[in-house]
Amino acid sequence: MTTTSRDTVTAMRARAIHAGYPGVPVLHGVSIEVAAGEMLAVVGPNGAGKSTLLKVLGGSMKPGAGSVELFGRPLDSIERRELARIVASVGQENAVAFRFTVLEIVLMGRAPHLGALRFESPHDLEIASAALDRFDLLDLAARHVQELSGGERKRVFLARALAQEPKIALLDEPTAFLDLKHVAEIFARFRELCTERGMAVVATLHDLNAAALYADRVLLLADGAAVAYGTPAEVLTAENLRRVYETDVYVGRNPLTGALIILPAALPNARA
Amino acid sequence: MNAAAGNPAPQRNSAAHLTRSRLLSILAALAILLIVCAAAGALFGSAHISLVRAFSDPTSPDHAIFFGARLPRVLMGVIVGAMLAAVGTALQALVRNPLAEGGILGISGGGALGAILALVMSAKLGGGEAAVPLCAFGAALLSTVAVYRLAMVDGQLEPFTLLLVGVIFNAFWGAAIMLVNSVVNFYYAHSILFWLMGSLEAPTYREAAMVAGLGLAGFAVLMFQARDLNLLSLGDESAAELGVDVDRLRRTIFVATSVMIGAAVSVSGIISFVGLIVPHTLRLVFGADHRLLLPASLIGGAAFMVAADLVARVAIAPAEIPVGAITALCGGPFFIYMLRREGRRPLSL
Amino acid sequence: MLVGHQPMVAVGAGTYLDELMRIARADNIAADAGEQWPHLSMEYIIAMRPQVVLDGSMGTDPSSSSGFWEKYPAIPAVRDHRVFGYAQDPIVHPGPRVGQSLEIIARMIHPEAWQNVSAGAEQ
Repeated sequence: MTTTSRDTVTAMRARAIHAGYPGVPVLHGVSIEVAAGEMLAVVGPNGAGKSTLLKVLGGSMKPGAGSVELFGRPLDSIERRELARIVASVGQENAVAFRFTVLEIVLMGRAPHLGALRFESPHDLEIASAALDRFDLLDLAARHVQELSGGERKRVFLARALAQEPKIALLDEPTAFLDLKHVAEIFARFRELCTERGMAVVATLHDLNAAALYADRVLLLADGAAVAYGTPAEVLTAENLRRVYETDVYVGRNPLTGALIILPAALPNARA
Repeated sequence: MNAAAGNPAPQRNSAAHLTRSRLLSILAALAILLIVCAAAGALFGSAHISLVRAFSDPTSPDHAIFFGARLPRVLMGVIVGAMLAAVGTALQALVRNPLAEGGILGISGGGALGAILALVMSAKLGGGEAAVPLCAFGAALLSTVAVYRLAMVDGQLEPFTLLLVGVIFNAFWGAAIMLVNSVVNFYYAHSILFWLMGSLEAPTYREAAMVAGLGLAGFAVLMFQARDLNLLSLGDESAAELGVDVDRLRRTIFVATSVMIGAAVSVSGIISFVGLIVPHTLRLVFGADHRLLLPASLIGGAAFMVAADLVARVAIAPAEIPVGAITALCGGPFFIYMLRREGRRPLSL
Repeated sequence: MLVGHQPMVAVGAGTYLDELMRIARADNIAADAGEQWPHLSMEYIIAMRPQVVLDGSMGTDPSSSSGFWEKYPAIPAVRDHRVFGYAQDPIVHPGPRVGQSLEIIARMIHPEAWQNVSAGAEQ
């Protein structure tokens, strides 16, 4: 998967991000650049700072140092609601407090486009339907979100993000809870969106193989710092992975598809 | 019309989302319910009067009773019930928990304590009869701030912490009131009862109008936040990512609700559970969209309160049961039922 | 006769104060309320058209004025200015000062009978 050769508009650029929580620094000088229509996978061990990076990119966390630019504009200069029309985020936890239906949740994605008291128009309903359709949720439109399984709820939140019509999507573990079929479908859908609409996607993943297969570029993060940044083949090398995950891996090619595959090579040494 | 692969748009299943027509038809149905309840409240009471005579003959006792006592009382029921229910809805949205309500969070209790303290000290401080409701109002606002402050953990408003703080506050206000009750003379001990039991007697239309005015103003503020309240159900972060200024929303709701509860408590004492029963029932039937739920609670709360007061006035006529007792009798079992329901499906937040 | 007007608790049948009222030759409008200390609604009080109202809050609380009752001119007692406040202590509490309490109540209910009798001469 190479970046398309059309005029690459830089959708998002982050420079030297230092960020963390009071007393706990998390990110140390991370920089990324995502072009429109590109998918960037952020991988790394637990606690590496993947979710924190996503929060900074989405504007819900202010970095201690460094800057984020969206389409050339500084992130903190963009007003909240406009930001919501540009960036859509889907977190790891997808809790809903009350008995809303699937359609109502997806329609909430239209909120940044609507005023305080305006009702959703047929146009908004169309967009919501399209989003539901893309994530295979039309049959569940009238069901209450609280009754759905974790995987179904995740798809509802992804559909909501899509209904925002964002130019950039930030997804934190989008394929957690999803079964094999839906993992493939989610990525296929987002790749479609990258191509069709030039959407830029930044997704944190635990699944290295998915990253290898679907992402245009990969950022390998460990202890809050970028270990490697480039195409999957460049980043996901046995050497890098052994260093970061402290375990031997086998990196090869899928005989069926030719895609990069990463498998654990051996069990870690037994503790003495 | 649908751009996607030939699938039909989601059926015009009216339960799937809120449309303007659905909003209006539900509100109209509730308004009819309110009119029925209000009519019942106007027709029945501890005194037997003829409505016909009340309207036709201004000098008749029927007229005096109806316009002097019964109508103000029904109006007060409408106003206070509407306000308490709307506040309950807003507070539940704020804490993302259906178990929140002005009485449960200790706000009414604080207001009552303020009134009682003002009453007891007014002999020494002067200030007249107007000082007491004003103190109730102020105390309710202070209680709101206190509960809010204590429940904030690292800048995050934890719903269960808020509930716990509210319960503790209630216990504390109750103890304080009991303390006052035990040391003051008979007159104050008797007067404290008014605040604890709640009463919808309204001496003047002007008083009722003032409370109604405050209530409507507060409600208008709440309605403007209705969509944002929907978004708040997704969590603080998700709401912010959808463009909501969560801090400002919180502050606005708190100010509006405390003004409304303060006004209600200052004229009618503590009446609990209205803000719990009405929003929850409406949410079960009509869904959680606050653009519908807020006005529906307003109307439904008014109907509920008027009905409860009717029972209070008529059940053991000519003697009365305090209306707060009626709502609590309904509310206690209802609360237990809700706890058991929610317990089965944990409120993951 | 009311213990107070907020909340509106009346003296019912079977109470010591009711007995005092009967001795003072007054009809207690709350006697049929079925309870000893019934809460009454204002509409009931208006409907029963009392000629005299004895209000404990008015007499005890210095800031409580007759303004509360003046909003209801349909009540004969209000119209005829026969709303009286009484001090709850000692009247509400039965004790050795029963005689004084009875005299106070009787004076309020039948002032015309007491015109020639000075205070304290009750047998």
